[in-house]
Formats: sequence, C-alpha cells, structure tokens
Amino acid sequence: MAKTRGRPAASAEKDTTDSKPIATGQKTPLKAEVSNPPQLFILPENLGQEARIVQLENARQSTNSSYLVCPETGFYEFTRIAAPKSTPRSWLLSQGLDTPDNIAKGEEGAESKLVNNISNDGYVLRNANLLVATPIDSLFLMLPALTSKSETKGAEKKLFLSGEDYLEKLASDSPDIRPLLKNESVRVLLEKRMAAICDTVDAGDETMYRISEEKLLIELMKKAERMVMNGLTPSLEEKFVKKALDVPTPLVIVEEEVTKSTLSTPQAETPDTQSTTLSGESLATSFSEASTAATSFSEESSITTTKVVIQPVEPSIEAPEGVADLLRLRTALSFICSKYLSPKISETIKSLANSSASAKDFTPLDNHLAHLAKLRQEALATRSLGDASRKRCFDDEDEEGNGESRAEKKRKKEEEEKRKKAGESRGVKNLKKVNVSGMKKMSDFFKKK
Amino acid sequence: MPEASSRNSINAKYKTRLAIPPHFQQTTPAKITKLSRTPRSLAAFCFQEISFSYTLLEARLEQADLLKKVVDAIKDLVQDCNFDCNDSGVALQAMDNSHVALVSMMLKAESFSPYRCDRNVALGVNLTSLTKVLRAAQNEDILTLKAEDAPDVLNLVFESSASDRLSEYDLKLMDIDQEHLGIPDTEYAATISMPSTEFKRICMDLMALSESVSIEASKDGVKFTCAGDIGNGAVTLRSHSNVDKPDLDVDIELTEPVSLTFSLKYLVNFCKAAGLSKSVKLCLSNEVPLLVEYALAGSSYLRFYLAPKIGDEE
Repeated sequence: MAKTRGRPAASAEKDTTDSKPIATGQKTPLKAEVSNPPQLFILPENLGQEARIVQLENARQSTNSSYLVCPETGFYEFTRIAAPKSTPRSWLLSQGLDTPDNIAKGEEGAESKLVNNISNDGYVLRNANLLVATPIDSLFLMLPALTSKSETKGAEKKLFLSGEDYLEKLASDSPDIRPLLKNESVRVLLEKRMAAICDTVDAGDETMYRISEEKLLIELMKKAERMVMNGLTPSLEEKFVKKALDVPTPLVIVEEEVTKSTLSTPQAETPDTQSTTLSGESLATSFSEASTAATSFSEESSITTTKVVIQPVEPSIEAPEGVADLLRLRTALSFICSKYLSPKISETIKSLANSSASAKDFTPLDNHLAHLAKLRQEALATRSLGDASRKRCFDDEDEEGNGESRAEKKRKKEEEEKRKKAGESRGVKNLKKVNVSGMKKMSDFFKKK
Repeated sequence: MPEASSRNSINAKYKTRLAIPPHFQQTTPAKITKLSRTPRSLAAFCFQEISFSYTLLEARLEQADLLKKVVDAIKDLVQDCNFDCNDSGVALQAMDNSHVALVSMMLKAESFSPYRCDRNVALGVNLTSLTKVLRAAQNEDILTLKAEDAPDVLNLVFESSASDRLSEYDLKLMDIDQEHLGIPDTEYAATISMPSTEFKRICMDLMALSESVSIEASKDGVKFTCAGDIGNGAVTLRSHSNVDKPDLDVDIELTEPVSLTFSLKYLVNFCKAAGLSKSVKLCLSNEVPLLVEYALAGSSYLRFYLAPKIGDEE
C-alpha cells in the first residue's frame, strides 16, 4: 500500500512554523500563504534509507527534472496530476487514523515536525497537485549521456566508451546523482540497462559501450508491446486509433438515410441528423488532431491525465485484420518517443521502425491509412459540394478574412444590378413573368454557329 | 421606281453638302508629312487628329423612322444586343432572357445611302439607352450611324431635312457576349400572310382571355383559338384578296395541316413591329418555332421566332 505524506521541499523545513494549525472545533483564520508550499507525493512503499529525489537531465526536454532514485528499488519519475485551471481545487489534509505506522513516522526523521502538524491539525494546500512516483526504466536517464556525444559532433563516428566514462558524463550533466553513484547497486543497475541498448566490446577486464539504435528500438518495441498488451489507455485509443481508422461515410448516403427516416417516422429524424453532424465534426477534428498530435501530446498527457474520457458510442473499428493492432503499437511507440526521447533520437527511431530493419512490418497499416486518407478527401470533396450549411460556414470565414473587399464586392454587385435594372425596358420586365413552361429553348431548335 | 429616283436626288444633295471624299484617310499620311514642314503646322495637327479617329462604319438612313421602329419593336424583347455590321449591312440576332424567343434583324446595305463598313464590327448596345437617344430624332430626320475602329461609342447624327438643324449623340457601347445560332432555311408546312394590324388585333383580343393561343391552319383557313378562366374565343381567317386594297389580302399556303400553341404575351410583343410593315408573314411547322416575319424595304427584314408550347400544362 502506498502511503500519503506531505513532504516539504528542501527549503520548506524552516517554514514549518508557518503551517496552519487549525484548532478543532474553533474557527481559525488561515495564515498567509507560504512562499514555498509543501507538495503532496505518492511514493512507493518500500523505499530504502538511501532514496533521494534528485534533479536529472530529462532526455526529452534536455532540462532537469525531478526523479526519485532508490538504490534498492530503482528509478522513479514523477507524474503530476493536477486539476485543470478552469476548476481550481485545493487539498485539505486532515488528521488521519492514528495507525501505529503514522505515529511511528511522526516521531522520527528531520521533516517529521510538519508531518506531525498535519496529522494533528490538518493542512490546507493551495495547489491540488499530486505527484505520483512511477517506476521508470533507467535507460531513459542514461540516454542523454549516451547520445550527447553524437549530438554535438554530428557525423563523427560514435566511439566505444567504458561504462565508467558514461556514468561520469551523466554525473557531470546532472551533479545531483553523484552521491548516489557511489552506491554500487545504482551503478550496476545503470550499466545493466545501458548494456541493453548498446553494442558492447570487451577490452581487457572492462566492457566498452556504444549506443545502438537498433537495440534501442528493440527495447522500445518491447515496451510498446507491453503497453498495448492490455489495451491502450482509452484516451489514446480514442484519439489515435479509432479516429485514425474511422471510415468516412460519403455524405450523400447519409443524407439519403435522413430523408428516408423523415419519410417513415418523424421521431427517427433527430438522432439521425445528429449522427450526421457528429460524423462531420469528428472528420474535421481528426484531421487537425492527427497532424498536431505528435507534438502536443507529451505535455497534455502529463497534465490532464485526470481528464475524464467520455467515450461516445461509435461503430466498432472497421479495418483489415491486424491493422488496428499495428496502429496501437505504433501509437504506443510514438507516445514513448515523444515522452522520453529527445526529438533527434525519436526521429531516428521512428524512421528505423518504419524501415525494413524493424521487427514489425507496418506496411499494411500504411496502406490502409493511405486508403483512408483518400476516402476522407473524397468525402470532404462531396461534402463541400453538397452540404449547404458547410458552404455557408466557409463563406462566413471568408467574410471575416477580408470583410472589406467583400463589402465592396457586394456594393459593386448591387450597383451593377441597379444599372442593369435601369437598362431594362418594361417589356423585358413583363416577359420575365411569362409562364414559359413547355417551351423549349431556341438552342434546342437552332444549332450554335 | 419613283422611290428610287427620289433617293438618288437626295443622295446627290447630301454629297455636295458634306463634300467628304470617300476613304480620304488613306491619303492623309502623305499630306501630313508635307504640311508639317510648312508654317501652317496647326492645320497639319488638326488633320492628324482627324486621321487618328478613323471612321470604320458610316451608314446613312433616309428616315430615322426605320431604326426607331425597329429598336422599339426589339427593346421589349431583349435588353442588350450586338449590332453586327459588315459590308452587306447591319444584322442583329438576340434572344430574350428565357431563350424561348429569338429576334433576327437584317438591314441590308441597300437600305442605307450610302453605306460603308470597312471591317466587321460588333456594336454592343443597350436598347433602352438607344431608344432614349433615338427619341431625340424626328421621324423624317436623316440618320447617320458612325463608329470608329475599335469603337467605344456609337455616333448618331440626326439631320433635319426641313431645317438646317443638326444634332449629334454619342452612345457608349458595351461588351456583350452573345452566342449566334445558325438558322437554316426551312420549308414550312403553313405560311400565312395577313395585314400586320389584323394579326395585332387578334393577339390583343385573345390576350384578354388567355395567356396562350393555339393556331390551327387547315384547308378551311387559319383559326386562332384560346381558352381562359372567363371563357374562350376563336378568330378564323380565310384566304381573301381585296382588289382595291391589296394590303388587306390574307393568303394561306398550306402543304399539311398544322396546330400549335404559343404564348400570347410574346406574340403581342412581336406585334410592336406592326408599324414597320403593312403585312406580316406567319410560318408554321409542327414542332419547330413559329416565324413571324415583317418584311422591310429592299430585302431587309425583321424576324421573330417563338418556341411552341408543348403539352397542356395550363
């Protein structure tokens, strides 16, 4: 069981006196906000004494992020779970059950004073952030050290280096880890993971390492497969698999259905028309999302994980056998790439994954997606022709875009119409009212010259 | 024949008065170079200007009346149209807005005196505007149409033969995209000639009852019938020749019986040309447009075509 406890940031210790004791049964005004408020973590249970939160280089953003390193259980990253800005929330930490564990914890440790305070009086945290420590493969932490050389020198051939050198490099980039590297188990852990993604050469009693993209891909593929095994997260599944494989219905057919239903039962009309607008919308959004998804995804996933995914009732995916699974796998892979790998490596990995060297063959998926893209284009073309309401919408956009020229155009048109009217004799006007039904055009009788 | 001689005499008078040598423009360049060296350079300049405004078309009508009536008859059918001028004369072909009626006019070069057109030119004219200008002309005025090369205006000069009044108007031209239809010579099943006033009267009378008239031509004669909300009516004409007044002759030539229905509003519109000619010719064949022809002096004509109504959708 993971236990909850408030853990102050390094400087928060001296602020312990600023915490807000609330006398039970008596209203006490809240004290002024602490400049560096404590944060709420969910940490693994069996952390060793040596566990530390350290700043390490984040492979994706090439900035430092906080990681929890425990020599016994490994590396953890923090996932922040926050309320969306539109609905601000706060934590109210109240006195919990007086479990023996709680009391024991309260008596020990340097930071225990605050913990004591909270458990006795309760505490209000302004930010409703919750930082959850989740295990992370240490190879992602090693990646900056392994690849930084090739990044700086570009085309130069990658050299084999000893594990020692890489760790030294890691320590120089993220000095926080240095004390931890003194611990043998951490070193072993890191080297083991390093070996998994590197070509190795034995030079005497030392093993030399050099990063191998192929091996990295294999590792990532394993992770992706594991991710897919129990099904993708619903939001990922919805956004990248269902929408991508959504077969566009040609609008003409949909309209026919609507008219049919209006003819037969008036009640059936409403749901049917709704479904048409829905499909139209999902089509339009899926286009824009698919294009921006790769870049926007990493941030979104870390912040709005709490977002409730409402899954609308949609028809099951229609795709050839295996294509959906391939797409899931690719989605998982690109998710990992976009979250944990630097843009440069993720590019190499993606191209490698699509190449023939990859263990998985993505060609059926590519073919199917190309086919879908074509269908969508066709659907879009028919819609822009057939759907008057959409047309109107485009017109409006146009108006916003160049309202002035449009107004001028309109004025000109009106003027022209007026002039035309003025040049029209009464007889011509009267002839317009004549019923010409049953009369053929002159061009039907006489051929054009 | 007496008519022709009188035209010649007027011709002679006109020529002496204007004294413009035909095609003088072609000789001017030489003149300019000569004159420009002389002290009278101002005169040379004037000459130069004249030579730039090269007159492509010059058509003189003895009586403005003709053009006035033609334009009046057409203007209620079409709004804008091209007057196509070439060396054989001035032609016009246009359809109404609904494209169910067509007007075809031909004013042959012989109708003018003189007539000169050096190159084919299309004069796009708004007929309402032309009517306004023509209203300024007296029926007996001598009318001269002039246009330059690549014209943007049509120049109209009205000369009063009685007084020495001369009025001149420029009418702005417009670009009109018009499709020309080729109209083949057709052998019609029935050809009816009658006084134009008679045809007009029938149309007006039946118009009071109905929107459309059916014209039946048989060996008994030609019968115009209509049926409307208030009742129905029929007018029958038989072949008839009047020795005293040949204008009132009704002549029916028939190869096979014909029965067709037409929109009266359009026919009434055609009848506005009644003033142009004493007699009108109706040509009918099943399933082809009716031809209403007003013959003009010379071999000029004004023809109207109207699509028949097929199927009883009233």
